[in-house]
Amino acid sequence: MNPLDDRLQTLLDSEEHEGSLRADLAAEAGQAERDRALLEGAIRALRRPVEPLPADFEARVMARVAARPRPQPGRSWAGFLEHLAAVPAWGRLAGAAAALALVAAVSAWAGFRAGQSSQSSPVAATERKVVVRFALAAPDARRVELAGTFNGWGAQGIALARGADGGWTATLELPRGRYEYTFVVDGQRWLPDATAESVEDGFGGRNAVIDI
Amino acid sequence: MAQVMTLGSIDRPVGDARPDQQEERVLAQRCLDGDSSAFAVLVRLHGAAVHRFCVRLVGPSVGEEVAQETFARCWTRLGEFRWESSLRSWLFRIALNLCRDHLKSARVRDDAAARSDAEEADPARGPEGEAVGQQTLAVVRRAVERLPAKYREAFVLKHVEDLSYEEMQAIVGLEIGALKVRVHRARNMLKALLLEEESRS
Repeated sequence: MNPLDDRLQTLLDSEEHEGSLRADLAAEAGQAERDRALLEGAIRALRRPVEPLPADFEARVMARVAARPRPQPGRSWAGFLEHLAAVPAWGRLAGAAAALALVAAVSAWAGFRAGQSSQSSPVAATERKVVVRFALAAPDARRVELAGTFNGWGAQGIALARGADGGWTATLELPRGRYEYTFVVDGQRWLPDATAESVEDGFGGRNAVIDI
Repeated sequence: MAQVMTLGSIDRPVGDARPDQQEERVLAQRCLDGDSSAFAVLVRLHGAAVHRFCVRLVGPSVGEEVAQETFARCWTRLGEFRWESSLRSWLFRIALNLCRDHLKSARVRDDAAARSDAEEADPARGPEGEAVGQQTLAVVRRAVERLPAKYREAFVLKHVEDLSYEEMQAIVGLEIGALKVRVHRARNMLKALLLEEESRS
Protein backbone atom coordinates (compact mmCIF):
# COMPACT_ATOMS: atom_id res chain seq x y z
CA MET A 1 0.00 0.00 0.00
CA ASN A 2 1.51 3.36 -0.96
CA PRO A 3 1.83 6.25 1.51
CA LEU A 4 -1.13 8.08 -0.06
CA ASP A 5 -3.40 5.10 0.70
CA ASP A 6 -2.35 5.25 4.38
CA ARG A 7 -3.20 8.93 4.54
CA LEU A 8 -6.57 8.40 2.88
CA GLN A 9 -7.44 5.69 5.37
CA THR A 10 -6.50 8.04 8.18
CA LEU A 11 -8.70 10.77 6.72
CA LEU A 12 -11.67 8.45 6.41
CA ASP A 13 -11.14 7.23 9.95
CA SER A 14 -11.23 10.89 11.01
CA GLU A 15 -8.15 10.32 13.16
CA GLU A 16 -6.44 13.47 11.93
CA HIS A 17 -7.57 17.01 11.36
CA GLU A 18 -9.26 16.88 7.99
CA GLY A 19 -8.11 20.25 6.70
CA SER A 20 -4.38 19.68 7.22
CA LEU A 21 -4.57 16.14 5.89
CA ARG A 22 -6.35 17.22 2.74
CA ALA A 23 -3.76 19.94 2.19
CA ASP A 24 -0.94 17.43 2.65
CA LEU A 25 -2.55 15.00 0.22
CA ALA A 26 -2.99 17.73 -2.38
CA ALA A 27 0.61 18.82 -1.94
CA GLU A 28 1.87 15.25 -2.39
CA ALA A 29 -0.18 14.76 -5.53
CA GLY A 30 1.06 18.06 -6.87
CA GLN A 31 4.67 17.14 -6.16
CA ALA A 32 4.23 13.78 -7.89
CA GLU A 33 2.88 15.57 -10.95
CA ARG A 34 5.81 18.00 -10.97
CA ASP A 35 8.26 15.11 -10.66
CA ARG A 36 6.58 13.33 -13.56
CA ALA A 37 6.73 16.44 -15.74
CA LEU A 38 10.38 17.03 -14.83
CA LEU A 39 11.46 13.51 -15.80
CA GLU A 40 9.35 13.38 -18.95
CA GLY A 41 10.80 16.70 -20.05
CA ALA A 42 14.30 15.33 -19.52
CA ILE A 43 13.48 12.18 -21.49
CA ARG A 44 12.10 14.23 -24.40
CA ALA A 45 15.23 16.36 -24.40
CA LEU A 46 17.53 13.34 -24.40
CA ARG A 47 15.65 11.67 -27.24
CA ARG A 48 16.15 14.59 -29.58
CA PRO A 49 18.76 13.66 -32.20
CA VAL A 50 21.67 16.05 -31.83
CA GLU A 51 24.64 14.22 -33.30
CA PRO A 52 23.72 12.67 -36.66
CA LEU A 53 25.46 9.56 -37.86
CA PRO A 54 28.54 10.78 -39.78
CA ALA A 55 28.26 10.29 -43.52
CA ASP A 56 31.49 8.30 -43.60
CA PHE A 57 30.58 6.05 -40.64
CA GLU A 58 30.04 2.96 -42.75
CA ALA A 59 33.28 3.56 -44.67
CA ARG A 60 35.26 3.95 -41.42
CA VAL A 61 33.73 0.79 -39.98
CA MET A 62 34.53 -1.21 -43.11
CA ALA A 63 38.11 0.08 -43.03
CA ARG A 64 38.44 -1.31 -39.51
CA VAL A 65 36.78 -4.55 -40.57
CA ALA A 66 39.26 -4.97 -43.42
CA ALA A 67 42.09 -4.91 -40.91
CA ARG A 68 40.52 -7.59 -38.66
CA PRO A 69 40.58 -11.35 -39.01
CA ARG A 70 37.62 -12.90 -40.78
CA PRO A 71 34.92 -14.31 -38.55
CA GLN A 72 34.95 -18.07 -38.20
CA PRO A 73 31.70 -20.04 -38.19
CA GLY A 74 30.79 -21.77 -34.99
CA ARG A 75 29.31 -25.29 -34.82
CA SER A 76 25.79 -23.94 -34.36
CA TRP A 77 25.86 -22.64 -37.92
CA ALA A 78 26.25 -26.09 -39.50
CA GLY A 79 22.55 -26.86 -39.56
CA PHE A 80 21.71 -23.37 -40.73
CA LEU A 81 24.02 -23.72 -43.73
CA GLU A 82 21.83 -26.46 -45.20
CA HIS A 83 18.81 -24.21 -44.93
CA LEU A 84 20.81 -21.33 -46.36
CA ALA A 85 21.44 -23.25 -49.58
CA ALA A 86 17.76 -22.82 -50.41
CA VAL A 87 17.90 -19.08 -50.06
CA PRO A 88 18.91 -17.40 -53.31
CA ALA A 89 19.57 -13.72 -52.93
CA TRP A 90 19.82 -10.89 -50.45
CA GLY A 91 20.79 -7.30 -50.56
CA ARG A 92 20.83 -4.01 -48.83
CA LEU A 93 18.43 -1.62 -47.35
CA ALA A 94 18.13 1.69 -49.21
CA GLY A 95 16.78 5.02 -48.05
CA ALA A 96 14.71 5.83 -45.04
CA ALA A 97 12.68 9.01 -44.53
CA ALA A 98 10.30 10.14 -41.84
CA ALA A 99 6.87 8.52 -41.93
CA LEU A 100 7.42 6.81 -45.23
CA ALA A 101 8.02 3.39 -46.59
CA LEU A 102 11.49 1.78 -46.77
CA VAL A 103 12.34 -0.27 -49.72
CA ALA A 104 15.21 -2.69 -49.36
CA ALA A 105 17.10 -3.09 -52.59
CA VAL A 106 19.46 -5.98 -52.46
CA SER A 107 22.42 -7.12 -54.36
CA ALA A 108 21.71 -10.10 -56.56
CA TRP A 109 23.28 -13.41 -56.03
CA ALA A 110 23.26 -16.40 -58.22
CA GLY A 111 20.39 -18.50 -56.96
CA PHE A 112 20.41 -22.17 -56.74
CA ARG A 113 18.37 -24.45 -54.58
CA ALA A 114 19.50 -27.63 -52.89
CA GLY A 115 17.50 -30.66 -53.96
CA GLN A 116 16.10 -29.18 -57.12
CA SER A 117 15.38 -31.74 -59.79
CA SER A 118 17.89 -32.20 -62.58
CA GLN A 119 15.07 -31.44 -65.05
CA SER A 120 15.34 -27.76 -64.03
CA SER A 121 16.85 -25.78 -66.81
CA PRO A 122 20.32 -24.42 -66.17
CA VAL A 123 18.96 -20.93 -66.73
CA ALA A 124 16.26 -21.36 -64.07
CA ALA A 125 18.74 -22.94 -61.66
CA THR A 126 21.03 -19.95 -61.84
CA GLU A 127 18.45 -17.22 -62.52
CA ARG A 128 19.40 -14.06 -60.70
CA LYS A 129 16.75 -12.90 -58.31
CA VAL A 130 16.68 -9.99 -55.96
CA VAL A 131 15.16 -9.99 -52.51
CA VAL A 132 13.32 -6.78 -51.85
CA ARG A 133 11.87 -5.78 -48.49
CA PHE A 134 8.93 -3.42 -48.49
CA ALA A 135 8.07 -1.62 -45.26
CA LEU A 136 5.43 0.85 -44.22
CA ALA A 137 5.06 2.69 -40.93
CA ALA A 138 1.35 2.51 -40.12
CA PRO A 139 0.86 1.71 -36.44
CA ASP A 140 -2.89 2.38 -36.56
CA ALA A 141 -3.63 0.13 -39.53
CA ARG A 142 -5.45 -3.16 -39.06
CA ARG A 143 -4.00 -4.70 -42.21
CA VAL A 144 -1.61 -3.63 -44.94
CA GLU A 145 -1.22 -5.23 -48.35
CA LEU A 146 1.11 -4.70 -51.26
CA ALA A 147 -0.22 -4.57 -54.79
CA GLY A 148 1.82 -4.12 -57.89
CA THR A 149 2.87 -5.31 -61.29
CA PHE A 150 4.61 -8.26 -59.61
CA ASN A 151 1.24 -9.76 -58.62
CA GLY A 152 -0.94 -8.32 -61.38
CA TRP A 153 -2.38 -5.75 -58.96
CA GLY A 154 -4.14 -8.64 -57.23
CA ALA A 155 -7.28 -7.59 -55.39
CA GLN A 156 -6.15 -9.31 -52.21
CA GLY A 157 -2.61 -8.03 -52.53
CA ILE A 158 0.39 -9.41 -50.67
CA ALA A 159 -0.15 -9.20 -46.94
CA LEU A 160 2.51 -7.38 -44.94
CA ALA A 161 3.42 -8.63 -41.48
CA ARG A 162 3.07 -6.34 -38.54
CA GLY A 163 6.10 -5.81 -36.31
CA ALA A 164 6.11 -5.01 -32.61
CA ASP A 165 6.95 -1.39 -33.37
CA GLY A 166 3.86 -0.90 -35.54
CA GLY A 167 5.82 -1.20 -38.78
CA TRP A 168 4.59 -3.50 -41.56
CA THR A 169 6.96 -5.49 -43.79
CA ALA A 170 6.92 -7.96 -46.64
CA THR A 171 9.89 -9.55 -48.35
CA LEU A 172 9.64 -10.67 -52.00
CA GLU A 173 12.03 -12.45 -54.34
CA LEU A 174 11.74 -10.81 -57.73
CA PRO A 175 13.52 -11.21 -61.03
CA ARG A 176 15.39 -8.12 -62.05
CA GLY A 177 13.22 -5.53 -63.71
CA ARG A 178 11.01 -2.51 -63.20
CA TYR A 179 7.94 -2.76 -61.02
CA GLU A 180 5.11 -0.42 -60.07
CA TYR A 181 3.50 -0.87 -56.66
CA THR A 182 1.41 0.69 -53.94
CA PHE A 183 0.38 -0.08 -50.36
CA VAL A 184 -3.25 -0.79 -49.52
CA VAL A 185 -4.21 0.06 -45.94
CA ASP A 186 -7.26 -1.62 -44.40
CA GLY A 187 -8.47 -2.53 -47.86
CA GLN A 188 -9.45 1.05 -48.57
CA ARG A 189 -6.60 3.54 -48.70
CA TRP A 190 -4.06 3.26 -51.48
CA LEU A 191 -0.81 4.79 -50.33
CA PRO A 192 2.04 5.25 -52.76
CA ASP A 193 5.60 5.18 -51.49
CA ALA A 194 6.34 8.90 -51.32
CA THR A 195 10.09 8.32 -51.13
CA ALA A 196 10.21 6.39 -54.42
CA GLU A 197 10.10 7.51 -58.00
CA SER A 198 6.48 7.50 -59.20
CA VAL A 199 4.48 7.39 -62.38
CA GLU A 200 0.90 8.22 -63.23
CA ASP A 201 -1.40 5.27 -62.81
CA GLY A 202 -3.86 6.26 -65.52
CA PHE A 203 -6.60 6.85 -62.94
CA GLY A 204 -5.51 10.24 -61.71
CA GLY A 205 -3.17 8.85 -59.07
CA ARG A 206 0.45 7.73 -58.99
CA ASN A 207 2.23 4.44 -58.46
CA ALA A 208 5.64 4.03 -56.93
CA VAL A 209 8.31 2.50 -59.14
CA ILE A 210 11.28 0.38 -58.25
CA ASP A 211 14.07 -0.73 -60.58
CA ILE A 212 16.04 -3.75 -59.46
CA MET B 1 -2.29 13.37 -51.02
CA ALA B 2 -2.48 10.34 -48.82
CA GLN B 3 -1.20 10.80 -45.30
CA VAL B 4 1.16 8.14 -44.03
CA MET B 5 1.22 7.58 -40.30
CA THR B 6 4.50 8.28 -38.53
CA LEU B 7 6.22 5.48 -36.70
CA GLY B 8 5.58 5.70 -32.98
CA SER B 9 5.94 9.05 -31.21
CA ILE B 10 7.71 12.07 -32.67
CA ASP B 11 10.57 11.36 -30.29
CA ARG B 12 11.46 8.04 -31.91
CA PRO B 13 14.35 8.20 -34.35
CA VAL B 14 13.29 8.35 -37.95
CA GLY B 15 14.06 5.36 -40.13
CA ASP B 16 14.83 3.15 -37.18
CA ALA B 17 12.68 0.15 -38.14
CA ARG B 18 13.92 -3.14 -36.74
CA PRO B 19 15.17 -5.50 -39.42
CA ASP B 20 13.84 -8.98 -39.78
CA GLN B 21 15.92 -11.57 -37.92
CA GLN B 22 15.72 -14.04 -40.79
CA GLU B 23 17.30 -11.48 -43.11
CA GLU B 24 19.97 -10.75 -40.53
CA ARG B 25 20.84 -14.44 -40.14
CA VAL B 26 21.32 -14.79 -43.87
CA LEU B 27 23.43 -11.64 -44.01
CA ALA B 28 25.48 -12.94 -41.08
CA GLN B 29 26.04 -16.23 -42.86
CA ARG B 30 27.28 -14.38 -45.91
CA CYS B 31 29.72 -12.59 -43.62
CA LEU B 32 30.96 -15.94 -42.35
CA ASP B 33 31.41 -16.98 -45.95
CA GLY B 34 33.75 -14.02 -46.34
CA ASP B 35 31.39 -11.51 -47.94
CA SER B 36 32.15 -8.23 -46.20
CA SER B 37 29.56 -6.39 -48.33
CA ALA B 38 26.90 -8.25 -46.34
CA PHE B 39 28.41 -6.82 -43.18
CA ALA B 40 28.11 -3.34 -44.67
CA VAL B 41 24.36 -3.99 -44.88
CA LEU B 42 24.30 -4.86 -41.17
CA VAL B 43 26.21 -1.66 -40.42
CA ARG B 44 23.61 0.30 -42.35
CA LEU B 45 20.77 -1.44 -40.51
CA HIS B 46 22.13 -0.84 -36.99
CA GLY B 47 24.68 1.96 -37.33
CA ALA B 48 22.42 4.84 -36.38
CA ALA B 49 21.06 3.08 -33.28
CA VAL B 50 24.48 1.95 -32.03
CA HIS B 51 26.03 5.37 -32.71
CA ARG B 52 23.20 7.16 -30.90
CA PHE B 53 23.52 4.79 -27.91
CA CYS B 54 27.27 5.32 -27.64
CA VAL B 55 26.99 9.09 -27.96
CA ARG B 56 24.39 9.18 -25.20
CA LEU B 57 26.71 7.31 -22.86
CA VAL B 58 30.14 8.77 -23.62
CA GLY B 59 29.71 11.89 -25.77
CA PRO B 60 30.01 12.52 -29.52
CA SER B 61 33.71 12.14 -30.31
CA VAL B 62 34.37 9.11 -28.12
CA GLY B 63 30.92 7.77 -28.97
CA GLU B 64 31.70 7.62 -32.66
CA GLU B 65 34.99 5.85 -31.98
CA VAL B 66 33.25 3.33 -29.73
CA ALA B 67 30.46 2.76 -32.25
CA GLN B 68 32.98 1.97 -34.99
CA GLU B 69 34.86 -0.41 -32.70
CA THR B 70 31.58 -2.08 -31.74
CA PHE B 71 31.00 -3.15 -35.31
CA ALA B 72 34.62 -4.19 -35.78
CA ARG B 73 34.35 -6.51 -32.78
CA CYS B 74 30.98 -7.76 -34.00
CA TRP B 75 32.65 -8.72 -37.31
CA THR B 76 35.43 -10.63 -35.59
CA ARG B 77 33.12 -12.49 -33.20
CA LEU B 78 30.13 -13.02 -35.46
CA GLY B 79 30.68 -16.78 -35.55
CA GLU B 80 30.22 -16.94 -31.79
CA PHE B 81 26.80 -15.29 -31.78
CA ARG B 82 24.10 -17.85 -31.00
CA TRP B 83 21.00 -15.75 -31.79
CA GLU B 84 19.71 -16.12 -28.24
CA SER B 85 18.92 -12.41 -28.40
CA SER B 86 18.46 -10.02 -31.29
CA LEU B 87 21.56 -8.91 -33.17
CA ARG B 88 20.89 -5.35 -32.05
CA SER B 89 20.85 -6.40 -28.39
CA TRP B 90 24.20 -8.10 -28.92
CA LEU B 91 25.62 -4.99 -30.60
CA PHE B 92 24.38 -2.89 -27.69
CA ARG B 93 26.04 -5.30 -25.27
CA ILE B 94 29.38 -4.96 -27.06
CA ALA B 95 28.93 -1.18 -27.16
CA LEU B 96 28.03 -1.02 -23.48
CA ASN B 97 31.18 -2.90 -22.47
CA LEU B 98 33.32 -0.62 -24.63
CA CYS B 99 31.61 2.46 -23.20
CA ARG B 100 32.24 1.18 -19.68
CA ASP B 101 35.95 0.89 -20.48
CA HIS B 102 36.03 4.45 -21.74
CA LEU B 103 33.96 5.82 -18.86
CA LYS B 104 36.81 4.98 -16.50
CA SER B 105 39.05 7.50 -18.20
CA ALA B 106 39.02 11.18 -17.28
CA ARG B 107 39.19 12.06 -20.97
CA VAL B 108 35.57 11.07 -21.48
CA ARG B 109 34.37 13.22 -18.58
CA ASP B 110 36.27 16.19 -20.04
CA ASP B 111 34.74 15.56 -23.47
CA ALA B 112 31.24 15.40 -22.05
CA ALA B 113 31.78 18.50 -19.90
CA ALA B 114 33.15 20.46 -22.86
CA ARG B 115 30.14 19.47 -24.95
CA SER B 116 27.77 20.52 -22.20
CA ASP B 117 29.48 23.91 -21.89
CA ALA B 118 29.21 24.47 -25.63
CA GLU B 119 25.55 23.64 -25.63
CA GLU B 120 24.68 25.91 -22.73
CA ALA B 121 24.76 28.95 -25.00
CA ASP B 122 22.47 27.27 -27.52
CA PRO B 123 19.55 25.67 -25.80
CA ALA B 124 17.80 22.87 -27.68
CA ARG B 125 14.75 23.94 -29.58
CA GLY B 126 11.70 21.82 -30.20
CA PRO B 127 10.32 21.23 -33.67
CA GLU B 128 8.08 24.24 -33.36
CA GLY B 129 11.07 26.42 -32.43
CA GLU B 130 10.08 26.55 -28.77
CA ALA B 131 12.46 25.88 -25.91
CA VAL B 132 12.22 22.36 -24.46
CA GLY B 133 10.17 23.11 -21.36
CA GLN B 134 12.15 24.95 -18.73
CA GLN B 135 15.21 22.73 -19.25
CA THR B 136 17.95 23.22 -21.76
CA LEU B 137 19.46 20.11 -23.28
CA ALA B 138 22.75 21.08 -21.61
CA VAL B 139 21.15 21.06 -18.17
CA VAL B 140 19.62 17.65 -18.80
CA ARG B 141 22.83 16.17 -20.17
CA ARG B 142 24.91 17.50 -17.27
CA ALA B 143 22.50 15.88 -14.87
CA VAL B 144 22.57 12.55 -16.73
CA GLU B 145 26.38 12.61 -16.87
CA ARG B 146 26.49 13.01 -13.12
CA LEU B 147 24.56 9.79 -12.65
CA PRO B 148 26.75 6.88 -11.61
CA ALA B 149 27.56 4.78 -14.69
CA LYS B 150 25.28 1.84 -13.94
CA TYR B 151 22.29 4.10 -13.35
CA ARG B 152 23.07 6.21 -16.42
CA GLU B 153 23.20 3.04 -18.52
CA ALA B 154 19.89 1.81 -17.13
CA PHE B 155 18.20 5.18 -17.68
CA VAL B 156 19.49 5.55 -21.25
CA LEU B 157 18.54 2.01 -22.23
CA LYS B 158 15.07 2.30 -20.74
CA HIS B 159 14.05 5.84 -21.54
CA VAL B 160 16.23 7.01 -24.43
CA GLU B 161 16.59 3.78 -26.37
CA ASP B 162 13.06 2.79 -25.25
CA LEU B 163 13.96 -0.84 -24.69
CA SER B 164 11.86 -3.38 -22.83
CA TYR B 165 13.24 -4.89 -19.66
CA GLU B 166 13.68 -8.16 -21.54
CA GLU B 167 15.87 -6.43 -24.12
CA MET B 168 17.81 -4.70 -21.37
CA GLN B 169 18.36 -8.06 -19.68
CA ALA B 170 19.98 -9.40 -22.86
CA ILE B 171 22.29 -6.38 -22.99
CA VAL B 172 23.21 -5.80 -19.37
CA GLY B 173 23.00 -9.38 -18.15
CA LEU B 174 21.01 -8.61 -14.99
CA GLU B 175 17.70 -10.04 -13.87
CA ILE B 176 14.67 -7.93 -14.73
CA GLY B 177 13.95 -7.20 -11.08
CA ALA B 178 17.42 -5.78 -10.57
CA LEU B 179 17.07 -3.70 -13.73
CA LYS B 180 13.78 -2.23 -12.50
CA VAL B 181 15.44 -1.25 -9.24
CA ARG B 182 18.26 0.45 -11.15
CA VAL B 183 15.85 2.36 -13.38
CA HIS B 184 13.77 3.41 -10.36
CA ARG B 185 16.86 4.67 -8.53
CA ALA B 186 18.13 6.36 -11.68
CA ARG B 187 14.87 8.29 -11.98
CA ASN B 188 15.02 9.44 -8.37
CA MET B 189 18.66 10.45 -8.64
CA LEU B 190 18.09 12.24 -11.95
CA LYS B 191 15.16 14.14 -10.52
CA ALA B 192 17.33 15.46 -7.70
CA LEU B 193 20.20 16.29 -10.09
CA LEU B 194 17.89 18.12 -12.48
CA LEU B 195 16.58 20.31 -9.69
CA GLU B 196 20.13 20.99 -8.57
CA GLU B 197 21.32 21.82 -12.12
CA GLU B 198 18.34 24.08 -12.72
CA SER B 199 18.95 26.02 -9.55
CA ARG B 200 22.63 26.45 -10.50
CA SER B 201 21.89 27.59 -14.04
